[in-house]
Amino acid sequence: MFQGLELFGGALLSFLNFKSLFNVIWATELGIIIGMLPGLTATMGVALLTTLTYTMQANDAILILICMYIGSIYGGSRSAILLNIPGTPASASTTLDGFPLAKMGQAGKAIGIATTGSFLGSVIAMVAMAIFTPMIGNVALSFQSFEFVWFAIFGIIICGNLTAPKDPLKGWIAGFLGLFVAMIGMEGIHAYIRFSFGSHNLSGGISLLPAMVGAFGFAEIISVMRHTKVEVINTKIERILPKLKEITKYWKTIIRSGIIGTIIGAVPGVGEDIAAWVSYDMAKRRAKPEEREKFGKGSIEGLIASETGNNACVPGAIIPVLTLAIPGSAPAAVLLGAMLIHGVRPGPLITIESPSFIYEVIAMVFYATIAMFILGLTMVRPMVKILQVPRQKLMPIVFVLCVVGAFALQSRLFDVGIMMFFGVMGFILREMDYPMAPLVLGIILGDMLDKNLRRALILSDGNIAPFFTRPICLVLFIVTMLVVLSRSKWIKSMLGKVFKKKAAA
Amino acid sequence: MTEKSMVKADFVTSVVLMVMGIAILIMSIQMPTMADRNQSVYSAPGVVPGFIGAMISILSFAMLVRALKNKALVEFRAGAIPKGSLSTESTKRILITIVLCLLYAFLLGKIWFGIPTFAFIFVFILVFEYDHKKPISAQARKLLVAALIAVLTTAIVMLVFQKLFLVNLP
Repeated sequence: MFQGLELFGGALLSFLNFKSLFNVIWATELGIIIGMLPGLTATMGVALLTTLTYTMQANDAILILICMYIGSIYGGSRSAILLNIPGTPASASTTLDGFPLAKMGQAGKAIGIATTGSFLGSVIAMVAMAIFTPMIGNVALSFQSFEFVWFAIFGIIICGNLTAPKDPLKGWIAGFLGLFVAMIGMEGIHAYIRFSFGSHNLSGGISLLPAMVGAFGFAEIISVMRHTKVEVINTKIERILPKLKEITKYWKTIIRSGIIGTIIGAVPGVGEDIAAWVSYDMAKRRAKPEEREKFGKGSIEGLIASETGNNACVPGAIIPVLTLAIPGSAPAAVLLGAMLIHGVRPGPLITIESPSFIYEVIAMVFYATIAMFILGLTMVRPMVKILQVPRQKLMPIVFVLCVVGAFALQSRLFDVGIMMFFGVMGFILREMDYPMAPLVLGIILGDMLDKNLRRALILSDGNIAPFFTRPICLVLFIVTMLVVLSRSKWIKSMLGKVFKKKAAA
Repeated sequence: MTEKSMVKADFVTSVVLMVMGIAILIMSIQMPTMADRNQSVYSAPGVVPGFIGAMISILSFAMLVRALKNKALVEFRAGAIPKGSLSTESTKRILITIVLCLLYAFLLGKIWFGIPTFAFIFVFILVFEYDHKKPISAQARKLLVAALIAVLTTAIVMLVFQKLFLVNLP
C-alpha cells in the first residue's frame, strides 16, 4: 500500500517539468477540440497521435495519448450541449439534457456542470484504478493460456453483445472478423505465413493503427459529409463555473455514475458511450419523481450522470490494458497498441517487470484530469468559434491527416491502402449496423487467442477439459454462455414457456 | 437504412460471409500441421483460423436463416436496390467524398506530396461549396478562401510533421 503511494509520488514528480506539463496542456486542449468536433472521435484522435508521436520517448508519447483520450471524451460534451450532436459517441446521452439546458439559455451552466462531472468521474475512476490495478495484476499472474483463451472469446462476445444492442449477432460477427484480420500474416509459433495470397505486404500482417485510422477516421469523414450543414445555436454563454451546491446536491449520482463508469470501462471493448447510457439510465431510475420528470428536458442530474459516467470509463478502460493486455474500450485498444510500439509490454507480468509503470500511468491520468478541468472551464468562448467551421473545409484537412498518420508508422503506401480499405468497409459495415468496437477488439485479441489456444492444447495434449474445469475458466465459460443465451429468441421463448407452465401449475 | 432494405442487405452479407468463413476453414485445414517437424499437431498454424472460420460460418448461417424467415427473398422481387435511392443528395455526397479521397490516395507517392495535397483540399472544398447557378465572378471569394486553406494546410502539415514530429511523408 505504502509502496504504491511512494511509487505514485515519484511518478507525479517525474512529470513535474516544463516539457511534460507543456505536452499535457497542448495534448489535452487538442483532445477537447477533437472531441468537440462531430466526426472526429477519441479513437481517431488517439490513433492519429500514436502514429505522429512514435518517434518520441515512450513516456512522453503515452502521456500525450492519455491526455488526448481524456480530453476528447470530455470534449464531446461541448457539441452535445451546443449543437445537439454528440462530438463523440460517448456524449450521446449528454445531448438529452445538455441541449435543452442550452436552449433555455443556460449553456454556460451546462458546460460548467458537464466539466465538473467529467472531472469528478475521472477522479473516482483514477482512485479505483490505483487500488484495483495492482490487485488484478497479482491475480492475473496465476492465469495461464486456458484463462487467456476464455478472456479473448468472452471479450468478443460481451463487447458484441453490448455494442450492438439491436442485433448482437452482428456484433459477434464483427468480433470474429476482427479476429480473422489478426490472423493475416506471419504467425508467432512457427513463423508460418497465413492468408497473404503471395503478397509481400500482407505477409507482414495488417497493422492495427492504419486500420483504426481508417475505420474511425475515414469512415467517419464519409458519414459526416453525407449531411449538409448544421446550425450552431446562438446563445449567450454566461457563468461557467458552477456553484458548489449544484454539485454537492447530486453526490450520490456522482459516486454511482463514477463506479458504473469504471466497471463498464473495465469490461473488454465496451466503452464510454455505453458507460454514459447506463449511468444515465440508472440515475433516471433512482431519481426523485419530480427530478425524473425533468430528465430529457434539461435535468442537471441527468447531465451529471452521463458526463461522470463517460469520463469515469477512461481510467476504467486502462485497468485491463495494464493488467491483462485486454483493452477496455476502442481508444484503449489504440493505447495498448501504442504501448506495444514503444516497447512497453502490458499484461500480468507488468507487476513484476515494471511495477512503477502502473503508477506512472496513474500519474498521467492525474495530470490529464487536472488539465481537462482547468482548460474545460476556461477558453470556452473561443472554442465555440471552432464549432462554426463548416465541415467541407475541415474534412479534407482531416483526411490529409489520416493519410499522413497511416503512412507515418512504417513509411509504406500499403498502409494508406489499408486505411482506405478499412474506411470504406467500416462505413459500409456501420451502415448495416455492425459495430466497430468488437472488430477492433478482435484485431487486438487475435494474437492472444492464436498463441494461447495452441499453447493450451499442447499443454493438455488436446484435452479440452481444462477449459471448463479450471475455476476462472468455468466462471468465464458460464458468463459467456449466459450472455449468448440471454440474447437468443429461441431460448427466451422456451424459458418463457417453462416458466408459464410452472406458474400455471 | 429501412427495415426492408436491411433484410436484403443481411441476406446478401450473410451469404458472402458464409462463403468467406468456409473458405477460411478450408484454407486453414490445408495449412501444414508441422507434425513432420516433430511438433505437436495442436501447434499447427491452422488451428485458430480454422476455429474462426467455423465461427464466422455458423454466425452468418444463423443470420441467413433469420433473413429468410423475415422474407428476404420476397423483398428482392421489388428490386435489389430501392428506387431513387442512388440519386439522392446524400448518396451523391458520399460517392463524391469517396472518389475524391481515392484519387488523392492514388496520386500519393507518384508525385511530390505538396501538389496532390493542395489540389485535394482545394477541389474538395470547391466541390461542396461551389454553386453552379451563380456566375464565377460572384464566387471569387470562395475560390480564394479554398486556395488559401489548401496552401496553408499543405505548408503546415509538411512543416509540422517533417520538422517537429520527424515523420516521413508519402
